[in-house]
Amino acid sequence: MENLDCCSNVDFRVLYKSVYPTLFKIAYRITCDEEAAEDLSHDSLIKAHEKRMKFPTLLDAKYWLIRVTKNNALNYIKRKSRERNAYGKVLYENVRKRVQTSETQYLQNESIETVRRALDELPPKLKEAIVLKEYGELNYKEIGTILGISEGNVKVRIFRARKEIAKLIGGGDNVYIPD
Amino acid sequence: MSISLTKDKCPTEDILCVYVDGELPAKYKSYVDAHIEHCQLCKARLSSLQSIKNTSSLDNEALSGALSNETFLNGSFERLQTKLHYERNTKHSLYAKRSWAVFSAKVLAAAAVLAFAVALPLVTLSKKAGVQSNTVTYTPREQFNPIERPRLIENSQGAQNAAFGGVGSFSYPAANATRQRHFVLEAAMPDVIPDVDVFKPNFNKDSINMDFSIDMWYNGRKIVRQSFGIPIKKENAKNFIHKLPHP
Repeated sequence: MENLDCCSNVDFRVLYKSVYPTLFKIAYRITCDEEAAEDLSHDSLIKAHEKRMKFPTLLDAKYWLIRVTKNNALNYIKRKSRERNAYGKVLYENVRKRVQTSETQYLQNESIETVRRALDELPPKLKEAIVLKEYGELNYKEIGTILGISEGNVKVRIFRARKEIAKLIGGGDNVYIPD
Repeated sequence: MSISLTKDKCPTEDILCVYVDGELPAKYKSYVDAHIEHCQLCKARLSSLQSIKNTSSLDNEALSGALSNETFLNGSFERLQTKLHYERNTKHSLYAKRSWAVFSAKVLAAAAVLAFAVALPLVTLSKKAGVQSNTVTYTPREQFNPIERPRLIENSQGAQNAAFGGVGSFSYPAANATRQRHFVLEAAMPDVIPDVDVFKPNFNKDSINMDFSIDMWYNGRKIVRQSFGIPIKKENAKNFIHKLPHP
């Protein structure tokens, strides 16, 4: 699609349909909170609409929205962790509980949970790269465009992220290895 | 990341990582393929990376599956629409209400003081002619003629108070004298500006009426209270807002 106008209802709907699931997945894997993921994905779409953004292609719109969502999601967890430190364990457990109940809806696999937890522990720079790779289904070049870094840098971050995950889950004994 | 590969030399782990993502150029890929055939260590390293990748992929597929649910997508779209409407209404009206109030308060205060300065002599004259006026509660003893146009000299508390200053001549009939004095008039702005949001869709009236009453002070004494209502048409209000600079 050429010349996508966020103010046009038709274009906005197209944009929503094609990008929203990706935005949601990225926000969800960064925040581990369904409600927050929806809000954050919505916020970026609202921002595009409000700023009357016009994109030359659907892909440009996608990259822009992913960048906004990703940044907001990282800010969200930063704020959350500050709050968590301030209010102690109560909030933390609430978050955990919600995540686990929602988790059971679509995934039972323990190894997935293990990897997801490890993902959660990663520093933001590695986390954003690996989340965009695995959940945004983007290639190195696209990730580089979104993060504003070189392709080589993306490779390095993804490699470090995987190494870190491997370290966190402890050598891969409890990791699901497909046949 | 430099890539130097031979069949016998183990590729570095970052290359394996790129291989796992399927982004290794074809010519290097064949090297790696050939190498892992006989190198057990690299095979193990590769499968470790692969298993992490696969686990994430499974997770991603599960999420995608859950998200492709039409009911969820449509529901979420509806919530998004609601938020959009809300955002549009509140953002506009908050901005509009505030700047409109401040701007019109300033303009009206200036207009009121001007009107006051010009009208006061007339009011006293009309009193003499026997015309009743309910708005003027205090009949000044001295006749006041502004020489300078009153100008805004202070606006210390936002829209709430505006002070105007200028030069005027005061006549003292009893002493049979006229003195030129600097004057400061404080206009206390009404703190209740009608809380009407003209941008809300439920705003049906064609115009709203803003009631102002402005107290004029001179040397700490309230000398007059001016009250007036100004009808503002909805479409004018909109035009007016669009011309305002962004704060």
